[in-house]
Amino acid sequence: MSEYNPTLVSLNDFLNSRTKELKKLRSELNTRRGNCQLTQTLPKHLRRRTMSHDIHRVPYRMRKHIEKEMGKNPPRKSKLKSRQSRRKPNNMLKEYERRSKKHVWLETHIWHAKRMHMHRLFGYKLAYRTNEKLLRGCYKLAARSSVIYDESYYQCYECVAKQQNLITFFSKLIDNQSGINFKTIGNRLFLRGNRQGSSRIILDREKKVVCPFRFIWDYIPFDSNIEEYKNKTRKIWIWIHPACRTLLVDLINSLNTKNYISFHELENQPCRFSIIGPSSINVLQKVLWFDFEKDNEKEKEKEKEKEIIKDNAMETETETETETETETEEDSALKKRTMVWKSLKKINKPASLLEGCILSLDVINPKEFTVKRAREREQEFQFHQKNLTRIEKDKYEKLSKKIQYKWSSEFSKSKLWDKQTRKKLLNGIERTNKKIDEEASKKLFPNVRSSKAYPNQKIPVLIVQTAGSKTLGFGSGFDVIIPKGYAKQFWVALVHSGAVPIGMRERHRIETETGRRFFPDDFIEAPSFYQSATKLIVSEKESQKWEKTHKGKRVNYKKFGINSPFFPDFSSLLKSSTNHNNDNDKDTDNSNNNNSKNTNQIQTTQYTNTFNVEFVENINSLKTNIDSESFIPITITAIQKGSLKRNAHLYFPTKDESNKITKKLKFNQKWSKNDNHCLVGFITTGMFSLARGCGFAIGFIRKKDLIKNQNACKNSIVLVRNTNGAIFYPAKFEFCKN
Amino acid sequence: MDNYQFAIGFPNHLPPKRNDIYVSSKRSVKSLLKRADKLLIEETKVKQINVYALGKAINKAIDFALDLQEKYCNQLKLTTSTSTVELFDEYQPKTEDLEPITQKRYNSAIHIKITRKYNFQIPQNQQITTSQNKKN
Repeated sequence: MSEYNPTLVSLNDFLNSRTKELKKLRSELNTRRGNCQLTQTLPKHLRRRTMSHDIHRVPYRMRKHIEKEMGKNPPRKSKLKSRQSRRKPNNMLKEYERRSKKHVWLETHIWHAKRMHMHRLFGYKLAYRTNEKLLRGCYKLAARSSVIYDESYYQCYECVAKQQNLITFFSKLIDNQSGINFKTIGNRLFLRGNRQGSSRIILDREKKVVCPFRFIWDYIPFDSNIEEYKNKTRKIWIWIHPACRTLLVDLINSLNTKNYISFHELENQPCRFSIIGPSSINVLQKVLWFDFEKDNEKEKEKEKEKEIIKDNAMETETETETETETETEEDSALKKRTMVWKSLKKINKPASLLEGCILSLDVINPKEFTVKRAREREQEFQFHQKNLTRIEKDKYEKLSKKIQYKWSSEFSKSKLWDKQTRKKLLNGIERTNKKIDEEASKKLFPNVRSSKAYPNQKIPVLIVQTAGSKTLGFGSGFDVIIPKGYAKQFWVALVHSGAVPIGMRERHRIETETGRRFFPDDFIEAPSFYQSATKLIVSEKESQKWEKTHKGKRVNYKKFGINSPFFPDFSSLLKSSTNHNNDNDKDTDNSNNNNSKNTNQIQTTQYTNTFNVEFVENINSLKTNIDSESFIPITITAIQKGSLKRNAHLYFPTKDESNKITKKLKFNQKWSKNDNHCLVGFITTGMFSLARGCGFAIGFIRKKDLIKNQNACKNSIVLVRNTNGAIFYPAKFEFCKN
Repeated sequence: MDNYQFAIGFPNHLPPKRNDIYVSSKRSVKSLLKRADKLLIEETKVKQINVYALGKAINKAIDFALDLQEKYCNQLKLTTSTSTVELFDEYQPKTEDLEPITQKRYNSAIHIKITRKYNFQIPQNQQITTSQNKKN
């Protein structure tokens, strides 16, 4: 060991021992460090957050190096585009296809979703009410101008067989046992295909399920003998509500064991709009249009040719007669339909036509011409009569009276019945829409309806008349049947030309104003009663609201003796055989006192039953089969003031009270616990009717009680008690025939 | 005719405007007078009132028009015209053997025009039951 410091430094030894360190330093300066990413080698003021998933935010010199690294673990692409692009109609349709297994969208869904409240009903998403307040206002619109409603959720089925087989098959199914005979399918009103019929089908005899439906026959010439067509194959189209669809299909498949009939769902189902009101003719005339003047031009040309031929015939007499151009059947039928369409302008109310008559037209796509926007809900009745000359007016007046007398089946012959035409129309939509848009973008001014030639494609369309009430003449209109794929274009054109769109709640109100029952809400005899809008939407909201409010500030239903305040409970009427005894009432009150909070739970278990419904013409024609339990539908009108509401209770008055009411003396009576009136029935829909100027409702009465109290029913008076309180309102009732 | 169901035919008239009064047999003369009062006094834009009636209701319409004349002390001008209207009824068969029948029938109609004369003044003795007076 050397104990002294060295005096000399040898460079070689010094450098050799330090080269290793220097080499390491250099290498580490050139290469990057261990675990950090390339972007982290940048100084802090140059680093950006988006460099991790977006290459264009990285400085240019480092891009290549980073691309190699990103190739191993590429960043996750965000599936979501911007919210604005996600909510465009094309993208929304693609998203819908993913969701369409649970509930189905109609074709006009996107238009409705922007303007109405949508709800899930019967497996579809339907418009329940508008964003505006239109409950009372829809009466005015339906009585003076027009209103439009989308009905294309009704399913269409097709039956093909020989005529005789079809008639015998359906005669077993149709409801003929009730007091009023419903018309069978083989009725000569409908057989020739010129009119639409409606009837009731029994879907299940044990469970007593009945539902209504509408049907149209195929085309037959009007003057032909029906017996010749017994063994020829014919078609029927049936429209039925989607709530009863599965029951129908199961029934017919079970009966159709030997392939008696071919029954299947229509491919490419047509859409259906219903237009109600007196100006519905006006609205349709603006939208459904085809070249009138082209037909006139043809005739003018023919006349000119004839004149030329006559002039030439004077010179050469040896020439034979000219060939008389025989008109084909199609041309003659076209002429008749155009004349009928023009003469419809003279008819001011659709109620004056025959019930259920059908017209078929071949129409130009309404996207090709723009419809002038109507001013805010104005009537324009003088519109169509300005452009006619006096001679034309007389011609069409005579025709318009002939139509009301006789409606031949040649007016209803159409190409919609062909499978292939429907397919062609569906396949050709995109092409035509693109062409129209391209041509429109080139022009300076938008297309106005003119007499120039339009492309060849014409769309077959059916127009069906619907009858309103038979006493007031209110609620009549037209149904328009359109092939699939063209619904949106027709809908937008119809709305622009003056028809106001409504939802299901307003449609329900218009039906009750006419005096008829609306299908799922007023029909006890089908299980769709418990899937209807009043049960799922209205009564649930009311019950939730009631439970939230404080005890002292809400209606005390126990005190008034009402067991089910939010939904009518018909099965409770059947259990208690005698309603007069006070002991029975006390028992039911005690049982409900214990279960004050669980009232809703008790009632839900009972909500699966359907009830038997019978129709009666007069009180005298009541049959005295007391064994069968059934309900009778009635329409109730208030005598004095008072509006009748939903779920109200119905009672029969005593002799003294009915005498008071008929003599128009003062009648003030209230309900108390020791009341002797017997509960007879409930109300399903009630309101203040603007057409009549008094309260109006539709309800059901138990048949047994009617037969017992026949003496009291001579004046046909009934007492109504709303769920709000204890006042009795006197009212008259009549038997319903629908 | 038990095998048939009767469907009545409706007259083919335009929906009512502000001027029009359509008289039916169930309507009382009192309510008609109230409506005419409103139109003549409150609404000065209305130049004439049209009254229409069919069949049985012609008597009521005539009574109403003459009562109005008395009420306003002969300051109104009445012009009438009568006409016939065609109505088409239908008998719809209930069984499958029969054919439907349409029936044409005629009914008489009346049309009364009520206008104010140039020296029209509201008489002072009259009790006008308009909404303004009800509050007082």
